[in-house]
Amino acid sequence: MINSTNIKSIRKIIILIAFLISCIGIDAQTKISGVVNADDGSSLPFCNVRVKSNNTNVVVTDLDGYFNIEAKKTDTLVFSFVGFQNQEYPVKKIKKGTLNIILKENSKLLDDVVVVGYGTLKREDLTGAIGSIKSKELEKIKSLTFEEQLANKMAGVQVVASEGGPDAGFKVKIRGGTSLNAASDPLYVLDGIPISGTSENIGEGNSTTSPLSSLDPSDIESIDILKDASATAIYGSRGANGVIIITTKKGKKGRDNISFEHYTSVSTISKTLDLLSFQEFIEYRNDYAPWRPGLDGQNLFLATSYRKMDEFGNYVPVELGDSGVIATDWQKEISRPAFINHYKFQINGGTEKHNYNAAFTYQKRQGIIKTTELQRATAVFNMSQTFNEKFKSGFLMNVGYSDRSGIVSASSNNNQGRSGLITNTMLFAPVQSPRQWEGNVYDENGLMIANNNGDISNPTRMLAENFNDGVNIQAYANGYLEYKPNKNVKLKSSLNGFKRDSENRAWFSDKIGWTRATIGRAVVTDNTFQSINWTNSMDITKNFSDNHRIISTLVHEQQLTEFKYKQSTATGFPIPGVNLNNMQSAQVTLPNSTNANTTTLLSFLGRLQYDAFHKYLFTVSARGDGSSKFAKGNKWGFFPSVGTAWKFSKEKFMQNVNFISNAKLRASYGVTGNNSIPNFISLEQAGAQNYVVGGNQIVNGATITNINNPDLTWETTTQSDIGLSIGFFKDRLNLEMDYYIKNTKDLLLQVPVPATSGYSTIWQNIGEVENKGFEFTTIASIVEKKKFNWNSNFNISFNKNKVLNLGDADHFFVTAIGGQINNDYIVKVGESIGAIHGIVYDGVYTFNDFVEFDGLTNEQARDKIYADAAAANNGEGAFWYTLNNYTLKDGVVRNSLIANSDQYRPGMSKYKDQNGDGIINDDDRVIIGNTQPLFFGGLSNVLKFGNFDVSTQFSFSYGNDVYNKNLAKGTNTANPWNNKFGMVRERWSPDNPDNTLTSFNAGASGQYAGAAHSYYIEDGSYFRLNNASIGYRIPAKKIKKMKMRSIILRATINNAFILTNYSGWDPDVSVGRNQLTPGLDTDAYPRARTYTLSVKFNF
Amino acid sequence: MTYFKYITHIFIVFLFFLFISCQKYLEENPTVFASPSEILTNEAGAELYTIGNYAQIKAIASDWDGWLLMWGTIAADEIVIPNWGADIRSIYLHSFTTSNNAILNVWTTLYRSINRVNSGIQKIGAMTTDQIDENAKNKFIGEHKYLRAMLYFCLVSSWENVPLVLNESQSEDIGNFEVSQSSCKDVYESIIEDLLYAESVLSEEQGNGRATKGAAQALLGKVYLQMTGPPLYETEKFSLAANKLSLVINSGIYDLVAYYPDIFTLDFEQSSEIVFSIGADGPGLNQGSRIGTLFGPQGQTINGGAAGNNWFTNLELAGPDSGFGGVDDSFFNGGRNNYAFAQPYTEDDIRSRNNIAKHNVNQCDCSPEEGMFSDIHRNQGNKASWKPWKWHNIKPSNWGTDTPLDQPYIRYADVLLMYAEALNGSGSLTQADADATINLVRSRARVFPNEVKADSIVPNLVVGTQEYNSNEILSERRKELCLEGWRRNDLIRFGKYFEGINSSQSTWSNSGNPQGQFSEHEIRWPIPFNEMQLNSNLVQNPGY
Repeated sequence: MINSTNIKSIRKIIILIAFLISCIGIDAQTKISGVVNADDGSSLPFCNVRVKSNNTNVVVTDLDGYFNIEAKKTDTLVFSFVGFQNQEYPVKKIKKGTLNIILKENSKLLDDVVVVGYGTLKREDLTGAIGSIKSKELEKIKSLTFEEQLANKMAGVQVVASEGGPDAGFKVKIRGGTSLNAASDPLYVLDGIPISGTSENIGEGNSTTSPLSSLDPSDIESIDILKDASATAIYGSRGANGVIIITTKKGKKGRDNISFEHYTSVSTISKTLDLLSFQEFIEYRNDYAPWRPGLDGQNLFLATSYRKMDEFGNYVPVELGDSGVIATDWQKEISRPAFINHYKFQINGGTEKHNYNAAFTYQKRQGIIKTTELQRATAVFNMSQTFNEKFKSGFLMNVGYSDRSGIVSASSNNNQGRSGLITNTMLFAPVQSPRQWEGNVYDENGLMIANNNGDISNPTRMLAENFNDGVNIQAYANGYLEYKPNKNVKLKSSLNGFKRDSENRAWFSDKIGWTRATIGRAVVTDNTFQSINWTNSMDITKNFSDNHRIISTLVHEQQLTEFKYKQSTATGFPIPGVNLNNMQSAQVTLPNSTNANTTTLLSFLGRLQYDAFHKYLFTVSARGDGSSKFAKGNKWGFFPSVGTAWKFSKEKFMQNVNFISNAKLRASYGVTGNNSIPNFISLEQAGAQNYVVGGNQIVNGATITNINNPDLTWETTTQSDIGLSIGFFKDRLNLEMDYYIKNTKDLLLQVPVPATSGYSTIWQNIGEVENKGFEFTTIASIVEKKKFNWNSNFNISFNKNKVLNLGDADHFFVTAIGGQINNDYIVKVGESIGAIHGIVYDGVYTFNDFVEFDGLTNEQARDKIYADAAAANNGEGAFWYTLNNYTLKDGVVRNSLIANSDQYRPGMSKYKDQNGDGIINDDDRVIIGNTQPLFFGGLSNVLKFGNFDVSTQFSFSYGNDVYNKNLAKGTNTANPWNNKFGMVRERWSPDNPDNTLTSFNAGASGQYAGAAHSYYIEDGSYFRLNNASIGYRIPAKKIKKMKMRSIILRATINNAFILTNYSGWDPDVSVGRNQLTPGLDTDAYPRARTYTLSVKFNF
Repeated sequence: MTYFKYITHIFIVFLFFLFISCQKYLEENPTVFASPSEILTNEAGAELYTIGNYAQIKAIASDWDGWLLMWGTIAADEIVIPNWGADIRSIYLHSFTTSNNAILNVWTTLYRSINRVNSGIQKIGAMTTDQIDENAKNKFIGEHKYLRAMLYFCLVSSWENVPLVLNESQSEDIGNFEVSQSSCKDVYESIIEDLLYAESVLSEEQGNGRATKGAAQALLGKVYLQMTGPPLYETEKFSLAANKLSLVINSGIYDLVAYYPDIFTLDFEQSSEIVFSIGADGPGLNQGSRIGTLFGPQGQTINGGAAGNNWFTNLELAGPDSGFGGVDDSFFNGGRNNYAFAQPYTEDDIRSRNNIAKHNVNQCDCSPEEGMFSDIHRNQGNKASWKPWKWHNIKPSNWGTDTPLDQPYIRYADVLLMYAEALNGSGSLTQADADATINLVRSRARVFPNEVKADSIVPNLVVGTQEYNSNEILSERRKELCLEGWRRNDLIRFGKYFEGINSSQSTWSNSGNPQGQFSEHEIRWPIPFNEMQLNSNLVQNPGY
């Protein structure tokens, strides 16, 4: 792309300049020639070389890093290059021949350039709390989305995986969740384009993916996270939840680079769940249905299902080798070692006047669940050109395409078997009985396909029959024109657009599951999202003297976003294999559904930064936002902030404190907003509602669907932050601490209202939430030797989230996905968001609780209950667990479901009576867990020995609970057909009277179904080695013949190990999109452990 | 410096210009709905709004949150749910908590519908004479009031003292929706007022799915009758009921369909038997009902079976199979205490064939209907597999759970039985009355496709004591109207609710049984826990 004559002419100019400069010298000058290289062995073109005593004596290195300069013997040469440490070299030390300079990469934190909204600043000039990550820290984790790389890297940024799938989304929270119903996701600003950070649904089911899933994380140059109000208020109505600014790689001044990278990974399932073994399942079934002579009908069927008749005519348990007994480990069946292949080709480069970068990435990523796969191709291109001193222009574009295939793994509706694959894997019977039952479905080979009328299906059949595929195309482009009328003023206008088109195609087979009834079901969904953003800005920089500097920024911005949706569904596909691609052949086509809406935002903003005496920094910013989402009169919001910093290390009293090289105290206060609510909700709406008259004539109708609500307005967050940054030992150890209080009021809340109003919830500005927290980061360069470097970063965050006010209400409930349990989360004044609400499980009723067993030993009691069972039904007998005719002793807690105290039995679930009224009812539901961690953080270490590097990245989270909703289904002892979690070994029985889990709770059981039980709540604390990696750089010298600059080899393990007590796949889980139900594990995709080998060639 | 100022000024003027020109930029122009004021400008708009509010009574139809299913059927003694779903099963078992989700859903959807219907009454009522003709307006309001009466009748039956909201919720009320309960009596009075208005303005015709004078009169009869039972015991309402029901009978518009199973087929959705029904059509129109496959024979839905669910016939409804092939099964004898007020079906009662599926549609080569008469397929020893059934699916079927059948709300057979009940209640049931009502229904039960069974199969009622007649009428209502959603109201009205639930028989060893689990206060439902939390003015029903 680069015009070679151009380069040549530039080269000539450089040489000419160098020559002219050298001519200026009058004194006895020494001619010096040399070469500048980077510490990785590559040459550094355009490196500045100047003479220390004479600022005009400057040359730059040529494309191969060579330079010529004349200087006096007494002078010192200074070498400087952006991103590298300056180096000085006294002329008198120079020996004959070529001077060889090696510049070290700059690891000094304070010199980093930080992207603030609508501008950049050096880190040392910040007044706000901003965290940054550079590409070299990101690239060791070979992940699909950038959020995974972000996890535990930065204080105050909580990244929780939704589940373990190949493109699973993440919940990113900056300094806690501020909102309840309006989105709590940060705003993403991708190369200047604001995009909502809310994760996207993947096809059918509850799985989500990143909103930027098509972006290749290796194209990212830096991620800057704006945390406090001084930083975020510039984003006004969208800044309350923090802002993540993503800047992609641009070409750099220097030689043209060509690189090629490839990596191959293999992933394996990192854990298997503890389910009943084959033998245990047979025992369970036979315990459930004890056999005795005289059984009839259903009882006989149940009792003989997993038994066979022996030679004496007795029924004995089946054995695994028996014919007709088929045992399958479903966890093993659905999973596989999964391979990932990644290829990236990149060219970039630049001169003083222009730069360019282009890259192409292709990746094919298998999931550890069979059939799940993702292919992605990404192409990026960007360039900029400086025309003259006044005009500059640039352009960038990024196009990503991803193609996903697989199956619905997580699904909410488990009514009638609409559950996802994972639930079916956990619950499908591991041992098929030799006897078939008409309620089950068998294939032509006699293999069971589905049990219980399709409630639970054979997982391998689901994998073979169903699919849930999608294609996603995401593109954005940005062009700008910059005009500098003089050196103080910069005017810039940029226009950018973002577009995402996704198509999902799902097929639910006619052979299994709930869609058997409709002869299959095909669903095609198209989503289009597009956004056009126009930004005009003016920057004025003015130095009033050496000691006073003002930078002011004035911006106009307007953004229009459009969303369109279309779904077609058809059922009844009679021809095998013909479905999604021939939907007109369906017997029944459901009405198409479409939706569209447009949102606009118009903004004016300004910022003034004032730097006095290089010690005192002040920032004032304000933004006015007008949003189409609110009614007239409430459209405009105003968001001001102030920030100040004091670099007190520059004060006199600090001059003698040698070990402190840098110290800065920061304080900020400001207001930000949130408008992330659905469109049109302030308007009175009459929606279409048709009706059938005359038996079959559909007549159009309309009815009121939304109440007029003109008072809705912004949700407002005020945040105060106080921070301290200190650098010790010449900045080799940097500490950064922040304390903040974030108060959000006028919450955009879907306030539950009495149903008698005709509505369940109405959006209102009510309530208040507070987040208080402390963040601590250290960045240390522990060893800095020529051949050995050791850098270590540590961060830890404490955030306390608290609901302060909910208007008139004290609390309201939230029902999480996963079915069958309601009101399992609570939002309550005084508690944090994510509190789990349920009933405290208190073991089971034991013999001691009953009048009938009073004074009996366990053995006598056991004999009595068996004898009573045998005598029941006029001597026909009954299962012991259906005898609900024992009497509780006085004072033993009862259950409102069974009013009479003489209708209980041992082994029934017992619950904790919270209000002491002796009876368990809904008033005894309490908060049984909290999903917010007390603290979380990460520790990373990078060691470099010559050309080797070793890095480790640990992460931890402490004090958070996980709501393992899978346990509700997996320990349900009422259902004899399904497999159970290992916990069910602890079920009570007359023979095991000390066990504490509910016995078979068939029939009248007192099982307080519909509430979360405290044993579903598990400690989700963990300590994980996220990533360990070894790299080797083959130095340039060794491969010079190959015309290569370097080859980098790397071996990586992701998710190497985890220490946790959590019994599910992984404690880092949060299924679904509802931010009020964090830490939910239902049907989550299992987590992989991934081993990667990569090689990167730089030419 | 002046140059500098010049640039700055231009930029600021540019911003100001943008600010002014972009006010329009922030307006919302929705294209996915309209505002009611845009719709209600003429009679066609009022018709559109009325139809939209007719759709609200779908909340009553038998569906996962439909009152006729949840209250009328599952909470009664007609079916058994040996499933593992928490909420619905616990309604059947009478072992639910105040936060039962299904009960909450019924409450919520009924009140949502009421608000929409109130919106119609209010907004159409406010239309001016140059927008709409006065008679047309009154007819629309009359239809709305009929719909509102239906909705409140559900609420008052299930919860007794409920908030009586008669106006649409307004934006100025946001934050102030805490209404108090009205007494059961006041709610009934409001229902009667609405129905009397509807009766006065609606025309006398079959209606074809729209509310009519006859529908209003029949529902008035139903409401008056319900008031004669607990908790009001207003026995003087028997005569009012008899009066209104006689008007329906004498109108000459309605008649019994000759062959019972026909009523539940697509061809008879708006026949002379239908006084009012809840409209539905499908599949694939987003207008389907569930009744075609909610109940159905064993076997796959594509063969015409029930869709997915594991519901079985409560053996109290099924009765013994001793009438069939002379087999006497001891399991079904003894302890059948509600035989006192309910005789079992005999096998040659056409309604037994139609309403209890003893065949498996996968096993017979015939249609589900033909299976009704196939002795081989119907002769299944396993009572546990008998299924509740009424509406006829097709074979092969693509209905899934999206079936095209309207759901009868009041049938003429119901009117006849209610009339007999009203007369008997006021002590004036004569043999002639019985012959003109209950015995007409019984004689239809003997009609088979190619023959009429002997009178002894379903003998005519010979009028006896008031209590005897009452038991006969209740028994007949169950056989005739089972699964149509009125069973629980009937049991309560006849004072047989406890007896009925207490003798409920499970089919499955592990399906559980309401016997022994239910308590007297469960005759009414609890105000949902969530609603109690949100409205401090509410008083929970006793016992919860």
